[in-house]
Amino acid sequence: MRTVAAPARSADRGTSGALRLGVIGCGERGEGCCKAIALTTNSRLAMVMDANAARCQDLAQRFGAPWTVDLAEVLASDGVDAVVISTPHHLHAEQAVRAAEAGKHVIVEKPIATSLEDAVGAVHAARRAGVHLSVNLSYRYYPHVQKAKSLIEAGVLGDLLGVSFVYQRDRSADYWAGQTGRPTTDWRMRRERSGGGVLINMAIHYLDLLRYLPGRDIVEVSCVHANLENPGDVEDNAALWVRYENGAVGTVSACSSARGSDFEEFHLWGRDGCLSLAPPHQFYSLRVVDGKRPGQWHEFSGAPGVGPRDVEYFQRFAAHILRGDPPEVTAEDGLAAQAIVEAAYRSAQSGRAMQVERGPWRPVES
Amino acid sequence: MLVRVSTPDGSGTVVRLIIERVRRLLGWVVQRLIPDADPSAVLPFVLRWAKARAKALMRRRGLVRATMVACPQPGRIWTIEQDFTRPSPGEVLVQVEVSAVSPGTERAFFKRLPNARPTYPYFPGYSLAGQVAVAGRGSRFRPGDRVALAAPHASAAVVRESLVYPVPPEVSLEEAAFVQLGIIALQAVQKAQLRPGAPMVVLGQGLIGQFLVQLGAAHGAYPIISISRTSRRLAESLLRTAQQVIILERDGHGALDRLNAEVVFEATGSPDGLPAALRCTRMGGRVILAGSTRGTTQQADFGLLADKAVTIVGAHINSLSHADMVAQAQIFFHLLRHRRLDIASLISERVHPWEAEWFYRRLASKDDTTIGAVMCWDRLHQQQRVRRVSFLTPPDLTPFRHARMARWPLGRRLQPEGGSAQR
Repeated sequence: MRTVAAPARSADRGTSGALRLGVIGCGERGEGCCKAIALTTNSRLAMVMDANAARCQDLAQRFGAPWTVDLAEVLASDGVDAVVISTPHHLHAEQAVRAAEAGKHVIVEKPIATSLEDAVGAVHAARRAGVHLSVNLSYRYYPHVQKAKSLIEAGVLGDLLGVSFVYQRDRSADYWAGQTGRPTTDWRMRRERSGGGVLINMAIHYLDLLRYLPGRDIVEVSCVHANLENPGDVEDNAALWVRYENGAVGTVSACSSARGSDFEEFHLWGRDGCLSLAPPHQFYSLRVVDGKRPGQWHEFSGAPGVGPRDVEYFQRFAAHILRGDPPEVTAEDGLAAQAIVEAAYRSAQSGRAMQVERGPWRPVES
Repeated sequence: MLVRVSTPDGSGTVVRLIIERVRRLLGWVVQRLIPDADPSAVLPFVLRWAKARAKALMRRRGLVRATMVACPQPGRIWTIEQDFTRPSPGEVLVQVEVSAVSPGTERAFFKRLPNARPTYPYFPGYSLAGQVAVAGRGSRFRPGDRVALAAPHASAAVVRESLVYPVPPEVSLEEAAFVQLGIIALQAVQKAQLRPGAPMVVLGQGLIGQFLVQLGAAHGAYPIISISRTSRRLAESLLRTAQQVIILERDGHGALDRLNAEVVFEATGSPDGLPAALRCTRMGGRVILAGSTRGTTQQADFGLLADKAVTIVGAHINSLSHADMVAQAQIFFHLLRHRRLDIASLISERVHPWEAEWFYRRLASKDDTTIGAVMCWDRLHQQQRVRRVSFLTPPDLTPFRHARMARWPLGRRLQPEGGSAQR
């Protein structure tokens, strides 16, 4: 293990009793995770690791943490309670299995793996080892998403009838080729390494919200997708319809090549009302919710006391682990989101609607 | 004398022309104020607002504003503020605590079923209870007196004091709110001339049907047989009181022929219940049409009616004199006071008035199981229940700003078939 001198804005804030996190992968997401961990009050950065020593050293210096280029060193360290896996998608599953077997709690950046089968394997490894595995589906912790969730739980929608979601980004070719971030790598545009394009890479957060917000599982998916502008072999445009367990239906449009676009719109409607997560966020209900008069549209702001999404995610994760509880975002949540993506890919390939695999999840016998 | 002139539809008078012009002008103003609203839907509310002011001016009274439930068109329900003239001598202003929902009737009007053709906007409800807030000069009532009356769902009502029934202290306002429904059921029982030991059948298990079973038991009818199409709305009290419960879906219509009841109450609210009622009746028996059996039917077997010499008795309370109504209300309260009527167990919903649309939509759904429901006006803030307003206070048109209404010609003249704008 190599150490660097702690800079003035060190992460060592006298956090005795804090959860000690090791970050594996020092690319863009790794850097984001380090920043978020530094802002939590109940966890601290215990070590960073990346195969590229320069990148690793840079982060270590900025956040005042030891660094290494050897994963085994992180996993063997007694000073690390949990690891954050923020490497390219194709490395997630194997690293998660190794971390779990080393007795570390695991946070995996979404998706858990490039395939559902590998993801289930990683989750089972964690179960066998008696450690917790969580997936960084941190979009749940946007303040307005938290507020929407509390409104839905208070009955703003009633029984869910439908959802509609549009995601549009203007990702340049450089993004896919890895020219825009700290590392220069093209793994995002290679299916065997990323598992897919806009769906598994970006929209998976929102596919998770499609489940999380109404509190209902998706059971069937139909999808068409295309690679129209992506320089690699992954999709950059996808259209899905989904069916919920209660019969509600929804549509999803995800695109990473929409010129000048950087927005998402989420609409949910039920027997008793509608909720719109498109600025200005608003709801209409026939019920008295949040003290608001029914029969009118009401704008709502984010839930109070909710911090930036990544900080909130790590803060809550650490709080649960330190209490000995399972994390809020469970491995099953990650598997469910991955199962929707996988069903969408299978549907696009076969031209037919596909059933979404649902738990209990069992690993494939080798 | 009215001068006939040429109007756009070719058959008008000067007055009609003026009305048409004023209507258009008001419509234009409304559209400027609320672009999305259909002027023909807004106008009735504006006219009510104007009418309250005209009445107040003529009577030299002030105005109060209360919250009401309004049905602007079939399938839509709003809670909207409406103005009333403050009470004149002989009138009282009642601050409503609870209003009773008559599910069958209100469902029919909400959905505009063939047996219910109201004009819109329609103000549902006809039975409520509360406390006197203001009594007109020389009134026998004092502020704070507990009363029940017949009026639409609203947080306040201004009525002639002769139409108000004092509620005994032993009776809760929630129970008292069902006074009109109680009078309807009592009227049916009186028309039936029930005698102790007489077999009695009640068709339909809505609120009136449930009341009839309980009133039949209080009169000593025996056995009491309750008939319902489905088992969705079987109340606990019904199972306790009736000796036999027939579910037509389960037991089949054949079960009706064996009943031979002396008195059969038709309480389904639909004339389609009449054939079943005739089958239950014995020779020389009576079928009592309890409440409002609205609409027409081609199902009735008049051969059976003639063969059995059945008497059909209409028992709507329209035929009751005011004194009879008061007497029936007293009997109703007497029965409540002595626990001969159990209403509390029939109330399955206590609705916040703001949630009226949610409630009516649910009431209109085919799998609804509501028997008894009340609107709880005490859940509103005092300012929303009743407050003084000036003549200049504009009408409450808030719902029009928040809900897009179907634009269809309710109450408008339809184009003649094959007609065109050029004709």
